[in-house]
Order: sequence, then structure tokens, then C-alpha cells
Amino acid sequence: MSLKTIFSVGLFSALFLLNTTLAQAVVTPTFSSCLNPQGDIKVSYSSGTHGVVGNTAEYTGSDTVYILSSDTHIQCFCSENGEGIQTNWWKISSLSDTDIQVLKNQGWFFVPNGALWGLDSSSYLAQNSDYACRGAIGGTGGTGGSVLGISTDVLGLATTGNSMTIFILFIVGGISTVLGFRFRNSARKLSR
Amino acid sequence: MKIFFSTILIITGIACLTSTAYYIWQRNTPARLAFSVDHIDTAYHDRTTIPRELIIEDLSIRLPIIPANYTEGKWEATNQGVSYLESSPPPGEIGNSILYGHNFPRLLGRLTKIKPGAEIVIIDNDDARHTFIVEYTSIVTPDQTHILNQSDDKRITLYTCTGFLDSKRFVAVALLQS
Repeated sequence: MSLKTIFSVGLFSALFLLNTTLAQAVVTPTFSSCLNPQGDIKVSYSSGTHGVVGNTAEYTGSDTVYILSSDTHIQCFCSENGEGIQTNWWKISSLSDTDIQVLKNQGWFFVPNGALWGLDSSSYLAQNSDYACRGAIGGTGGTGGSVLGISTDVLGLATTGNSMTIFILFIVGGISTVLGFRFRNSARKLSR
Repeated sequence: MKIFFSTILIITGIACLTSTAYYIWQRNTPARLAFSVDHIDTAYHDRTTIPRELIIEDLSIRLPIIPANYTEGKWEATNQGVSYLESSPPPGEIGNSILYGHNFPRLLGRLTKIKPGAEIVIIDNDDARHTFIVEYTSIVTPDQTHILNQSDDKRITLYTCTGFLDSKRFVAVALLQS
């Protein structure tokens, strides 16, 4: 591997990391999931035609909006055929145009006036994600209590797979074995 | 010196590849008896209702349930069945019962194929059967721990790893059939 190649890879990696760091500079709030929504219900429809931000299509099914905080809501839509769409709504007040653009690049939609969606007359960012549901089932707001019985916050869900371990062991094992045999062959050639 | 270094590399490589083969075998080999005890806790034995078995007929899944805890930032997990978070309510009672398991083909590897409307049966130690109907499924990131929060209804939350190098979690939420 030439010095030029090593330099190019290093420069590319540095730029990638720098770009990632800049993109992560905007801290987004956390949203609960429609699988276990928290907060009070703002509005709920067991059926009807509804819109989804960022999509011009009309959807028929149940729709419930939960208030998570004064600035965050989640909208849980469940179509009659079981396709669910969760929309995270974030009322933005102090984000710069640059920040908004960064988030738009990450899949957020900018909504200049939330009143058109039954929210406050403020600017919002909204992000959609899919889930599956049983069709037109409206949930109730959760109580938000912890089931863990401990005071500390859980940092993450359990690790229930070992694909990463297998992948790393395979790569390290393969490289190590190949290098080992190459070193051994070159050493034997030198000794002759 | 070079021969010695190459020997170390070859031994390390073979050890890693052997471990890889073992883990792949472990993922695919049907559950077998083990002398190791996964977890014994006095609080678990004080309970009168203990979930014993999980059955998902649609996916041909029938697994023992092993109690587990979350302590000091670590989740206990078993290779012998499905883990049940002891600090969550027993399945069938009000609240959110948390169950999770490895995505090995012999464990919950097929869980990602479950659809809303499917039945999940939990059998207690006293042979009581609780039938849950899957209401929602979704793929979340590991930091979306709010799926563990308490609920007002009688539900189970069952999850396993999914995605590239197990970077995400597939979650199925099922409510007790009334």
C-alpha cells in the first residue's frame, strides 16, 4: 500500500468523522414509540381520512396524537390494512436555518405553521417512521412508570445477538491466519 | 523471531476461526441441556406466578422462559430460551411484561416474521395459559428504552436483535386476549 493511498484513506476518514460530528451537533429530543405511547392524548380518531406530513396521499384508519411535552408530540396513525406511521412532531423555536437544513438532510420535514396540522401556530420539524399495527386500534396514554424497579435509567435494550462478535472474530481470524502463513513463507525463503 | 511471530499469528487466527464456528453452531443447534444455572434469585422464587413457557404457533416457536434481571447496567440473557425481566409484572397482570431473547435461529430468530394478529401464549408454572394477540411490531434502536415503560393494559413486550450486525431491535407488543 503506497503512502499516497494511506494519506487518501486517512483524509477521507477525517472528513467523514468531521462531517458526522457536525451533523450530530443538533440535539433532537427523544420521542416515545407508538408501541408504548406516553403522555396525554391530545386528539384521537378511531376512523377517518388523515394526512401524513411529507406525503400527499390520504390515509384511512385510526389516528391518535399524544402530548409528550410542550414542544414534542407523537402522532400514531394505523391504517385499516395494518400499516402504521409514527410522526414525531418537534416545535422548534431556536434552531438556525443551518440546523434545520442538517435535520432535513436526516429525513425531517420542516412545517412552517403547525396550525395546519392541528398544532400550535409555530414552526415544527416532523419525522416519520413505519410500524405494523392490527388496524384501527387506538392506544391509551401510558403511565410512564419504569418496570425495572430501579432508580437508574436504562441506557439501552438488551443485546440479543452476536453477529458483531462473529463478524469481528471471522475477520481477525482470517487476517491473522493469512498474515501468519505469509510471514512464515517469507521467513523460510530468507533462511534458504 | 519471524517464525515465532508467524506461529503466534496462525494460532490466534485458528482460535478466532474456531470461536466463529462455535458461535455459528451455537446459534443453529437446538436448545440442549446445560449444567450451568442461568439465574436463580430469591425474589423470583417468592412469586406465586412464574411464566414458564412461551409458544408462538405461527412461527413454530416453543421456548422455556428464564427469569433475568437488569443490574448495574447489564442485562442478563440466556442461551437456553427467552429471558423474562423479573422486575416487570408477570404476563397476564396489569402492566408491561418484558421478554427478550437472542436472535439465534433456534431461539427468536424467526420473531421478525410475526404479524399483528398473531397469538403468543405464555404458560405459567401452575399451567395457566395466557393468550396475547400481537397489536404492534416495529424496529427500534437500542436506546429507545421507552418501550419498557409501564402501561395501563395487560401486555407483553417481546424483543430480539435485528438489522446489520444486530444494531437494532425488533419489538412485538401483544395485549392479553379479553
